[in-house]
Parts: sequence; C-alpha cells; structure tokens
Amino acid sequence: MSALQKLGLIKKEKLTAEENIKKFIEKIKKENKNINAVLEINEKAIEEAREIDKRIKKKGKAGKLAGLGIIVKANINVKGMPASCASKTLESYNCGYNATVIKKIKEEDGIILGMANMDEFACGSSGESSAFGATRNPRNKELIPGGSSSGSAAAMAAGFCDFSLGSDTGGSIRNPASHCGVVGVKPTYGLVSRYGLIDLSMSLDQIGVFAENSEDAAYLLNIIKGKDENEPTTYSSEEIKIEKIRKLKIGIPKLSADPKIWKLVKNRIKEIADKNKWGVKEIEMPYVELGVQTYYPIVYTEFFSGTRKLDGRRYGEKIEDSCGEEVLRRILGGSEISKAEHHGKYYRQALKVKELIKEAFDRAFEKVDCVILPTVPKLPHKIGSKISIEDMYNYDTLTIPANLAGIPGISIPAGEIDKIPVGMQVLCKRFEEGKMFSIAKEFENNYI
Amino acid sequence: MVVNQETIQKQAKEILDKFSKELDKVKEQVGETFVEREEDRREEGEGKEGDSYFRETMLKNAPSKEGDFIVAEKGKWVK
Repeated sequence: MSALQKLGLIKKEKLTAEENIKKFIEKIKKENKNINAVLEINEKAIEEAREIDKRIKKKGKAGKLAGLGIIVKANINVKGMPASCASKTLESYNCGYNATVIKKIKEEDGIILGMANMDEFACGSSGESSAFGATRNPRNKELIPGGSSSGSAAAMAAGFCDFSLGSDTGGSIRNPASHCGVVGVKPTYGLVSRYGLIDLSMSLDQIGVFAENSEDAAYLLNIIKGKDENEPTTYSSEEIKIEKIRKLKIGIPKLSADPKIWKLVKNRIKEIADKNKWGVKEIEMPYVELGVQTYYPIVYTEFFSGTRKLDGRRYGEKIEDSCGEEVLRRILGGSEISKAEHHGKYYRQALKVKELIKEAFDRAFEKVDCVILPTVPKLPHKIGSKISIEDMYNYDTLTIPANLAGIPGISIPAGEIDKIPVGMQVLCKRFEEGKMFSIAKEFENNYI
Repeated sequence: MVVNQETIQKQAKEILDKFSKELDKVKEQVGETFVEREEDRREEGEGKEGDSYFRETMLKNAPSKEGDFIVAEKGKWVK
C-alpha cells in the first residue's frame, strides 16, 4: 500500500496511527538484525502516534503526514535522537535541535521511527564504511545496498517505513535507490533546507527523499521544501504538481555504463516514448565524463573544512583519531589541497570544470526537456569484496553530474538484471521537479 | 580504527594528482560566476529565545565541562 493510500485510511479512522507505527517498530525489531538498516529506534514513536490518534478522534484534524512513519539518515539532526553519522567520532552525540526538514515533518504529524545506517560521514557509495557494520541489500542480502544513504534505502525496500530521508552529494540517494529497487529523489540545490544536516560538501549536499513511488516522493518533497531563514542557499518555489505530459523530447547522453544496463534503460525509454509519441535524441554533453575528477577535489576540500569543528572539544571524539579509512583519506586530501603552495591547482581547477558541466546541461536543456540515463553504471558488488578506491568512486559517475550542475534527479526502478534491481534517472532543469515527477510517473505506470 | 595515516595521505595525493592531470587538459575558460538574489540581506529581527533543552543537551555532549562551561583545553598551555 502506498503512503498516500495509507494516509487516507488513517484520516478516515480505518487505520490508526498507532497500528501503523507499531507494525513498523515490530518489523524493525524482528528483521533489522539481518539488514542493519536502522541504528536507533525512536522509543517514543508509539506514544507520539497515540497522541495523533487522540487528536483525529477529538477534532477530526490531522497534519498532512498524520501517523506516517519516517526513517532518517543518521547525519540529520532529530531532537532527542543520536546523529552519529555512523561514526565512532559522533557515537555519543545527541541532537539538541531539529533540522528544518524534521521540524516541517513533525508540524505535519509525521512520526520519526529511527535513525538509519549510512556510510561513515556519507563518505562512500556502498554502505560498507559504517563504523557500526555494513548495511545489507534487502533484495539480495549478499550484495551492497549502495550508499551513502544505505540504511534509508534499505529501510524503504525492507518495508520498515512509509518514507525515509537521505542526503545526496554525488548520488547518495539515487545510487542506493537504484540498487534497492525504490524511488530516490535529489532535489534542486536550494529547494530543501540543509539546516541541521551534518555536511559532507556544503556546495553540493541536498536532503532528499526515498519512497515506494514517485507520487509519494513528490508529496513528501512538497512538505519539506521551501525557503528557510536559517539556510541562505534556499529559495521559495511553487508547489510540485504531477501532470500528464503530452509533448516531450528526451535526451540520452553518450556516457559509458555496463552495456546490459544501458540496453535495459534504452528499451524502457523506447517503449514509453513510442507509447506517448515522445521524441528521443542522443545528445553530446562535453566535460560531463569528467564528473568524478571534478567532484572529488571539491568534496575533499569542503569536507576538510567542514570537519574542523570535530576536534573533540564540544562533542564527540577528534575525527582524525576515531574515523575510518575513507573519511581520513578525504580529510588528508582536503588538507593537502588547502596548502598554500597548491593554491588554484586542485580546487579552482575543479570549480572551473564544474561550471563547464553546468553549462553543458544548460545547453542540453535548450534542445531537450529532460535527460534520461542509468542511475549507476554497474551492478552492485558482494559485501566485503576487495575493490579499488577509484572503482568505488566510479559507482557515482552518472549521478555526480546532477550535483555539480545543481539540477534535480530522480531514480526509479527500470527493471532487473540477474534478479538485481536496476534504476534509471530522470534529470530536469533547476526547479523543474514537477516535470521530473510527471515523467517518472509515466514510466512507473507502465512498469512491468 | 587503526589506519596508516602516511599510506592514506599518499593515496589521496596520488588520486588528486591523477584527477588534476585530467582536468588540466580542459583549456576552455569560464567567466566570473555569481548568484543573483532578489534580497541580499536577511532580517535579524528580535533574535531568538534561548532553548534550555539545546543548552542542556550540548552540555551533556561535551566531553569535559565545569558547571555551565565547556572546558576545551584546560591547562594545556600551563607549564
């Protein structure tokens, strides 16, 4: 049952918020040990659900998320809950305030079920770098679920919640959504407030949503988006509406991925485009293939800067003394870039190519309405496989460009290869989330 | 977690140099970039009320404290 259908039942008192939340908590307690998607359960969730039921009974009034259960990535502050970032560094850190997205969810009577596992400080693409153990893919427990929002995606796929929240800096929502067979959305940079998000790379991070389908995802995004005086990069925006698309030109970029994955995605595009009489065009996108090389110097630099507060004085441990390998690599790399003698060599060079990639998308959107491509260029590996640093970074070659360009992207299931879910991305112009969801819904309506 | 800092630092430098070499091939230049905003300042307003829960939680989070104060590096500079 979709979250929106369930919401209808709760509001009509055919299902109570308590029943909904209890069912999720029992399921998490029973099944999480096999998946390791949830690090911490909100022990007050059932009590909060009862309060909502009382209000519905008494006044017949309830918020837009009345009694729905949401799991939150452990790098987003939820008052009274730990936000460990799946790291020993912040293992003992408890949140003293709500991130803006959490405040908005709570104002609409959404219930936080717990905190999700993730790659440590969002530094990873596999879900294996958590200090509290790897997350397993509910669709095939031997495989990685993808990352870094591994627990949020796995929780959604395992049926632990109605929605989950993640953060996407280079694909951290769309990548695990693809591997776990759920919908994952990275909004336009500035659509959703990052206030209360423990940052990886402030110029690229966006909080986004996981859901069972694109309609549910659009519904939650409408609630959490908006201008926030605590976050100066946010903008006001119109309501996201899903509408029937009559005329559309799809762009397919010439980027490399596993041929089996491209074949699956291209077949889906052809099938839906033929059915709707939409145009399809192959497009050249210069510099976009340099996404990984552009992304990492920026992330290393901004992560180094962002982690200077983690010195063990106000909370947690000193990060360099308590973190895992990939986190340390990014800190040491960022420290190297920040040295005076390298001024301009790495960071400014990367910022220049970032701008060229943004321009490539601007030019593409003059010719086409959206760009569709696979979400991840390869199938997920087995948990614990030895994999090189660059091969790990290359998981995000197709998701990074949207972050560099600041545009929205949604990953929806495209099909399966060897019983492994494969996702496809729909990318649109900045603040064209409505169009993006409308296109995604058309693909979902015709999913076999 | 025990990790060899020197090896990791070397790896990070190698990756950055490799990426930099590839980005160096891009000769095209870009113009100055800036963000256009309708408003370029925010209202400071009346300020916000103190949040006692936040204060209490952050004090609990602190590894070392003395009364209402977080002790950062007590006596480190005293011989």
